Amino acid sequence: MSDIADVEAAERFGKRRVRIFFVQAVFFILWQTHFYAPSHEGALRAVDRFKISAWFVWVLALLLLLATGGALFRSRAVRALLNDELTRRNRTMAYVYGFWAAVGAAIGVYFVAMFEFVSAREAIHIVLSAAIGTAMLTFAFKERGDRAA
Amino acid sequence: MKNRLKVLRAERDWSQAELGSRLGVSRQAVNAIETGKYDPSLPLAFRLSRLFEVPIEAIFDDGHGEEGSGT
Repeated sequence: MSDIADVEAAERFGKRRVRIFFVQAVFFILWQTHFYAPSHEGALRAVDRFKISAWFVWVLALLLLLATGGALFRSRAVRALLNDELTRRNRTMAYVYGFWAAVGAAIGVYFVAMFEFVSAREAIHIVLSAAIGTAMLTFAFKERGDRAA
Repeated sequence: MKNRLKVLRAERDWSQAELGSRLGVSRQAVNAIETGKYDPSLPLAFRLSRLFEVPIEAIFDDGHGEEGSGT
């Protein structure tokens, strides 16, 4: 049994989490177009290394958000409500969609690599971005659907 | 899966949030179960059964209520 105040707090944070996930997913996906816009021929410049590192930190942050559901500084009771079995189901679905997005991206890279050089880092970047972006969006949409009404 | 959760909750004059707090789940989970968007896990179904003091079959209907009762 939980406190009614915890249930109400979980509802507020749940709505906020949907917005955060949606905005983060959209920006993350849009960022990928920017990432590949400039030419990457030749040795990496300092600014390229910074961009790659920033992207990697962003990936780790999003994975942490996806795996834990966020609200790490809230009480254990609120976090338990924020990660109840409905949310765990939605997270599982997000992982499934993310997996298939990764597989699709990997197949795409595999075929592109027959005609154009794709470095290991670029291939990993594309597969990870597809998986995480899709999983984040799926989680946001499923949570929003359940939180409506 | 159809269920009588909304009726049972209304009989006790509980809000979705109140039922959620008694079950240890969010209001959204209660709403998703009531609207048939989500079928609860077996442990949660048992918690519902104990809370309302009725058998699980009296809460949920999978549309095969008469099957398996014969022979």
